[in-house]
Amino acid sequence: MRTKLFMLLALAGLAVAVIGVPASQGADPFVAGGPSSRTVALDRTSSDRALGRALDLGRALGLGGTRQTIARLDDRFDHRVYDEVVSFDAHGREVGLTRIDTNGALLLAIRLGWAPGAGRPITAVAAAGKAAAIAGAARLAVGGTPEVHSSQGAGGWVVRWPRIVDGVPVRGDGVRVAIWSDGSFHAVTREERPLAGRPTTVMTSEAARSIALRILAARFGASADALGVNAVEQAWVAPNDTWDPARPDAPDGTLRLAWIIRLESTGSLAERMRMLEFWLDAGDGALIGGDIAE
Amino acid sequence: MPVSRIRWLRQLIPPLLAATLLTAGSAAGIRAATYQASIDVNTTGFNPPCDGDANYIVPKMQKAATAAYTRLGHVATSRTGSSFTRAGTLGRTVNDWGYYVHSHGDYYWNSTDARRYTGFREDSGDCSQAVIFSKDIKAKRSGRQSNLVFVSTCHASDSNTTLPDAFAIAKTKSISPANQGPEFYVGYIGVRWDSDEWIFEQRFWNALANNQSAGAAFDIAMQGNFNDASFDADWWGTYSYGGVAGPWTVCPTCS
Repeated sequence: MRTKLFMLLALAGLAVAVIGVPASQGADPFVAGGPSSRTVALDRTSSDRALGRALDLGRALGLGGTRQTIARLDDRFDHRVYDEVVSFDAHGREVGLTRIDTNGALLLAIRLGWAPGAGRPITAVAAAGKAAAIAGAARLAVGGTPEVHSSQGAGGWVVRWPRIVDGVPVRGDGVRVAIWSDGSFHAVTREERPLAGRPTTVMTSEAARSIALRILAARFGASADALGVNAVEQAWVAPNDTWDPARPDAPDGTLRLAWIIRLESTGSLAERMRMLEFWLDAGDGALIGGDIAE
Repeated sequence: MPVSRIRWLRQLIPPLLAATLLTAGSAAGIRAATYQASIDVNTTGFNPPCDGDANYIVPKMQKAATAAYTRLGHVATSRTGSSFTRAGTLGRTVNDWGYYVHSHGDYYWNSTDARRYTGFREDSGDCSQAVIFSKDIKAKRSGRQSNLVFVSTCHASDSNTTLPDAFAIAKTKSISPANQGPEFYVGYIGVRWDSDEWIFEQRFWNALANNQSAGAAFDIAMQGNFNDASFDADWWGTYSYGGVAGPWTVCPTCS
């Protein structure tokens, strides 16, 4: 064992000599093309605390594993630092992954692999019940009726309790539980990103729609005729660079209250772009992001 | 050994292998350095004059995919505009071990065969963009093995998709200890938004860069904070395959 370790360290020295040491990325924002997370120092006390929390969660959720690795990651795409614990079985296979924030709160737990289950498939109603039990086991507070939809990628069902602030949904935030088709646990995430202050005055939906149509005419010219508004709704969103390349490559870490104007295309334009969204700051109507479905 | 050190050593494995290949000069090393990956990205279709306004997400996807395939040991070349054509893609595909495409995709009607195939549009630098059908790729590749194939288009991983077969990737999910070789196909289900695709792809590439297997990277990417709560994608291949270029010589996730 010691010999193997010595050989690995010697090879590591060779690799460093050949390839060089990566330059520190410091506090630079994420740039497309690079990895978004990097390992940072983790002290023994924090490591022990995160490992203990991950083991508790692993037992509660049935993640399994006979040994764990831990690393503290600085994730510049998601704008946060977390401790990632990977669990391995006796054969060295990865069986579980848990992310815990630096305050000890669960961000993510996944039972790795593909196990759609040998049992009978369960209904959407039963999936909601199973997911509530999983959230409880993970000590995540959920309430109200969740959204339930089938998911190929999840191997069964996704059950969500969206985050709502003063009656307005926070896009992407909330508690999300993925379960296999037979109702067994696959993954759970808790997302609760910081929100900017609510504007003192929120414009009306009519005003927002009017601004969006002006933007549409200015940016799309003749193509604007092939786009029609099919939804105007309010939500908290992470501003992005969909309409402005000067913005950072990652979505903002702080969400803002916005009016979302969704437009659908018709005719030949739909062969290239099916829908688009303008996200307008709910206070001043500034274009802070958006989306495109090709 | 402290657990963090084990992880640190695991992270050294790819650069160690790279260093070995760079310095060995053996025939095997030379072959390994020439595993080709093509990254085809349709930008013209999503920019003026084709759709009226610029799309700034697509170039990020191109950069991220090119860098990711390079990190995985491929000789990765990206093409867009008039260099991403149907003829060019079909001419190169037989030598591609890795393939990424971002474009408009669908389950297109093929009038010659009077049936539908999954496919995607070329860029070609203009607004009349021919469809590249899965059957076109399949005919050129003739069953040749693929590594990591990422089809970043709508409908690429719908249950009826015909694209994995074009790359000789069986539509099965192999979990360790089972494996179906060093191959992994990933794509989206239904119509998806660019911002969600970008979140998924960056998380996927980042997990691979951190030495997760392609299957684990998919699982991690699926937990993104998507704007569309019904976001969905699917995969086929070997869960524990790490996306490294070429035939399997070592299992990167095995201890």
